[in-house]
Amino acid sequence: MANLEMLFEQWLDGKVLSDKQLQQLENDPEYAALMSQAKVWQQHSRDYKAVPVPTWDRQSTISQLSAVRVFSVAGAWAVAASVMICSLVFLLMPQQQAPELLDQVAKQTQLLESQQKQIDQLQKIITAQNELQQQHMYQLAKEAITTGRVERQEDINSLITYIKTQRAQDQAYLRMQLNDLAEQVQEQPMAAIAKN
Amino acid sequence: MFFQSIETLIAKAQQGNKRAWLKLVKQHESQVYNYCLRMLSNPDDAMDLMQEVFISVYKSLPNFRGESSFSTWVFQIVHRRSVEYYRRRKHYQSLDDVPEQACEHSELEGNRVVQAQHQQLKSMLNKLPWEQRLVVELKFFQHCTFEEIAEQLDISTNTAKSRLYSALGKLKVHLEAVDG
Repeated sequence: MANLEMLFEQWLDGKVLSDKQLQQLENDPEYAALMSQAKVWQQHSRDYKAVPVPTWDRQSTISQLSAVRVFSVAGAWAVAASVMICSLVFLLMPQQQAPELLDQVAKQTQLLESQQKQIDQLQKIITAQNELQQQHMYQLAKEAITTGRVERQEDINSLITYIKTQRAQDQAYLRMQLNDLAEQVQEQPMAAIAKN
Repeated sequence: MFFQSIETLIAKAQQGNKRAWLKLVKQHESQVYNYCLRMLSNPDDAMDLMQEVFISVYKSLPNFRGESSFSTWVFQIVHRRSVEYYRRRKHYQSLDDVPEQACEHSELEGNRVVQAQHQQLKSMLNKLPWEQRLVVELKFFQHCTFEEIAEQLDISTNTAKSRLYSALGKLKVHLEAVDG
């Protein structure tokens, strides 16, 4: 079986097999089927007519990258130029001015340090102010909620009072009407009253 | 105007010569486009993939050391990009659902036989899962050995063989279905 597999692979790779070897493959039902299917693909591969490539912009393969390259090249040039200028300044500077330069560098460093301290202090102040502002905002929001709650309570109370007054007035009116009816009934002659 | 060998063109393109690069593209675009077309079955997708491939090739051009032929190197990039493209596209639609499109190229318009062959090939390839389709493409259309397929797809030789045998088995079912 392993021999047949090897033969089949050789045949697939296009190596010429002897008649006996081909016979061996064709006599095996599994490999005969694989061979016939492979022949279909081989036939398709042989008959395949390349489809012409539609018109397209070949330049687009470059243009999408060139912008990035220009920027990266420009960046590299900028770095190289600044390094060169710094080295030239350092090398061409007269040696006598070195102590003065060192003094200046020390002063600059001190200045930078004090600036850094100021920046740190400012940062702290800003952080503290932010916290304070947050607390104020919290208080404000709390008060607004409380006020809203009290106002709603008052509104509901006044509504309930109004409904109670209305109901009392309705009841008084009904009582009056009932009294009128009772008086009318009493004033009517006895003959007009229905007898059971 | 003058004949330039591929090595010269590559060297010039590596130095940033646009004309040399465009000549290289022109020399390889047909192979790449037809590969993309067979794999994706859709001319628009094939075009997109081909463009992506050449952008990728251009980007990697400084890394080409000539250890393999330029064509082999390009096709290694093609395989990688096609797998990436397929994975991206898979989220949108199944390739089997793509409607068969009539070929619009003038040279083929009159040639019904070629059109029919292309359609049949397309339908056969569409029946296969992507991994098997890749192996079939490499085996029968790029004429690679199992070792080369394994190397290009970063799989074992046995996996490459089993994928091809499964693909051949699927073709048998397809042909039986066609024959009724």
